[in-house]
Formats: sequence, structure tokens, C-alpha cells
Amino acid sequence: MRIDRERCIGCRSCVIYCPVGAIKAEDDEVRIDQDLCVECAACLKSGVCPQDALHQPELGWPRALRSQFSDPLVAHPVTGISGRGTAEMKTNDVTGRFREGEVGLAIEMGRPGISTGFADVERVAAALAGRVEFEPLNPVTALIDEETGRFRDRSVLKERALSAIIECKTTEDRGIEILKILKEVSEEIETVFSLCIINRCKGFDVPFRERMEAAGFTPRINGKTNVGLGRPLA
Amino acid sequence: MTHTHHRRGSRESLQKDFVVLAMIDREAEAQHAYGGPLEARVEKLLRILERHGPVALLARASGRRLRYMRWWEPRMDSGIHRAASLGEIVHSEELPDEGLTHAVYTRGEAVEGVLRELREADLGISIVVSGVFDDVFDICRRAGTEPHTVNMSLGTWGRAQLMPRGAVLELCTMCGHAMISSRLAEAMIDRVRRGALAPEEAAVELGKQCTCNIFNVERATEIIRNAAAGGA
Repeated sequence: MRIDRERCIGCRSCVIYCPVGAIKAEDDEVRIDQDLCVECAACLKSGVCPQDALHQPELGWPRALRSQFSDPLVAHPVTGISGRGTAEMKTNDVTGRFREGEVGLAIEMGRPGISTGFADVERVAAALAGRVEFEPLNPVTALIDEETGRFRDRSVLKERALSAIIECKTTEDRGIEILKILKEVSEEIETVFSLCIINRCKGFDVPFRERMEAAGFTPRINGKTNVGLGRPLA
Repeated sequence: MTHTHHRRGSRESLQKDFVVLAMIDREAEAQHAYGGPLEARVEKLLRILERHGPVALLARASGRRLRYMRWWEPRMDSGIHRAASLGEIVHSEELPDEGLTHAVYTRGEAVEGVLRELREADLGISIVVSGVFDDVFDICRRAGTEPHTVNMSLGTWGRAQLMPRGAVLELCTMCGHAMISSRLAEAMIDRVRRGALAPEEAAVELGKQCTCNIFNVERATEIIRNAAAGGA
């Protein structure tokens, strides 16, 4: 995001709309820290600038990744849909993506609202590589070598995003081991991640929840439930 | 797309916060178009969602996002979204064709009514309910549906000291794409405290930033009112 110097009157109205604090007011000038800016366009969309001084220039590679991962209205070239991940369990009653005995994980780097460097995304993906099955339609998967978890294009490492989701799955038998790996790597990163655990129900029971609780991982009281009204693919 | 997940707050507050999400799988539609033309089923879906009084609703149609949010007036339009009444969306000639519709409710009874009607309508469209699991499972039992898959949250790991706290975190996590800045949430609470804004106005200003329209303006109003009065 850029500020048109000819138009900006330094009113500072936009400063509080930036989710990552990249818009700075110093003396009479408002400027955007381009290293911190994740190109989410929240400032522009707020419509708060009385002078229309905010503008989004065309972004080249690899900076375009910032917009693709941060602006929910920008479609990812990989998935073809806006947003940061996939349909995951939302259509599982139709697609059968997660089967009984499997555990899905969505590790959302930078959420909530902290943002993440791609180096931290790689750190977590590399810790999981070889131990999980990465989701093929996920935008992070499209950028990494699945065997090592490392980004194939190293220029990506200097970029940032409001969040980036690593999606993968494993079995219920290996799920606790994966959570322990995530706990270890969480102490090595400079940001946060929010962790989603997906599991097929057996009636009104959630088999993996008991295993998690027994191992000391307690899920929050709220989350998402697919209520099974979709009709499965043949 | 885990954006209705990870909402923070007390059990009592979260029990007034349900997001019903309807998602169409294109491959399934191409394969069997279950239950007749998609357009007719989407119209039924929207009418059911409307009937039970959502505080917010979003439907995507022809590249646009049609949004309804309680207390949102056209003058509050952020400029990029069409400000539409609930009726305008439901009766729009541009029915949602992009696979995703969200509606936010504040009462379990409303969600139960939605699920009961959707089960009877048998539209073949995937439905996901975000909320407190115990309550959602009880709602399923009463509505005659059964949970198929859950997505649980193990919270936030890593440098948690970077995160905002209390009311600000509760407000910001109602937009899963993190488009609501913690500075904006703090400023809105402060303006309500100083009497410059009504809690409802502050909630709407925050909700405008949530482009998916899953922000619960009623719950946010209560959070802001309590915080401005000196709560957490």
C-alpha cells in the first residue's frame, strides 16, 4: 500500500485501521513501513481517508504473495478462491477429505492479527515434513518442497503475511506425536499460530478429543461442526 | 478458511454467537445436482436463513458481496460493498453463485429452527455451525441432525505475549481474517467511554472491516459497552 504525498493532509485517520501497525504518524507526515505492510488493504477498504490518498500499486513477485495471503478479497492463483485456505472440513460430508481415523491440522501462522514472516512458516512446515500429508490444494503447499517443507523459491523468505495456513493430515495414532512436534517448534518462532484440529465424529462422539485431553491438549469450548446435511460424492 | 474459528470470550458470551455457513461443492454439483437446480435450492436456503433473524448475513453473487448487518445504514457503507437490506439479498435476482453464504445468529433457538428447516428441505448443501460445541451438539439433537466432522481449536501457540488481551481480543477474533486492527478496537472502546459514539455505532464500525460479514454486531455491542464501563 502507498500514500499519495500530493493528496495526504496528514490527518492520521488511517493509522488505527492498519492491523499490523505499519502506518506511522511522525510529525506532520504519515508513512507506511513497507517491511511491515502485508498488503491486506484494510486501510483502503475502510474508506476512512478523506483525500483518497491511499492506493494499491500493482505488486510483482514475490511481494504479490503478501496480498494473496493477506487480503481476503484477492484470489490465490493456486486455489482460485479468495481466503487463505481450502474448504477443509466445511464440505467433508460431501468430499470425504477427512476419513474416520484421520486427523486434519490447520496451523494458521500469524493469527490472530500478529502477522508472520515466511521464514517462520517454513520453520513449522519443515518440522512437519515427512511426518504428515500436506493438503495439495493449499497455497502454502504450492510453494514448498513437500519432502523438506522448505520454500522452493528462496526469495519468498523475506515476505510477510497477515496469516498463512499450513494444512495437513495424519492418523489418530500419530496425532499426539505431531502435536508435540508443534509444541516444540512453537518455541522457536517469532510469531504465533492458531491451531485447528479436524476429526470425524462417531455419532455424537469425537474420538481424537479424548486422546488429546489424555495427553494434556485441551481444545477450546467453541469451534466448528459440520452437521452432515451435504450429499456425498459418488 | 478457518475464519469462524478461534473466537475468544467467556462461555456466557460465546453462547450468544453462532455462525451458520453454507458451502456448495462445485464437483458434487456437477456430478449430481442433488435435489434439483442449484438456483432454486439457494433461494430456499436464503429464505430459511432470513426467517430466523440473523444479525448479519453475507451472500456472494456475480463477483459481489451482498451484505446485511443489523444497525448498518447506507451512510455507513464502506464504499466497496453494496449495502443491502436482508430482504434485498433474499429477493435479489443475483442469487449467490460463488458457493458460500454466512449468517450470524445470537440465539440457539434460531439455529435450531434453521437446522430443522434445512433438514426437512434436504438441499444437499453442506452446513457448518460455529459455536460452543456442547450447545451446537444439543441443537443438532433437537433438530434431528448429527454432527459429521468437527474442527476444534487448540488455541494460540508461540509468542502469545504479542496478542491483545480481554475485550480487544474478543472483538478482533470475530473477524477471522484479522482485518479488525486492535488499535481500532481500542479506539472504539475509548470513544464510547468518552461518549463520542454509541456502543452500537462502534460495533458497526468494527464490523465494516470484516469483509466476510461474520462479525456479530450484537455481541460486539455488549463487549464494547462492558469494556467502556470499566470491564476487562
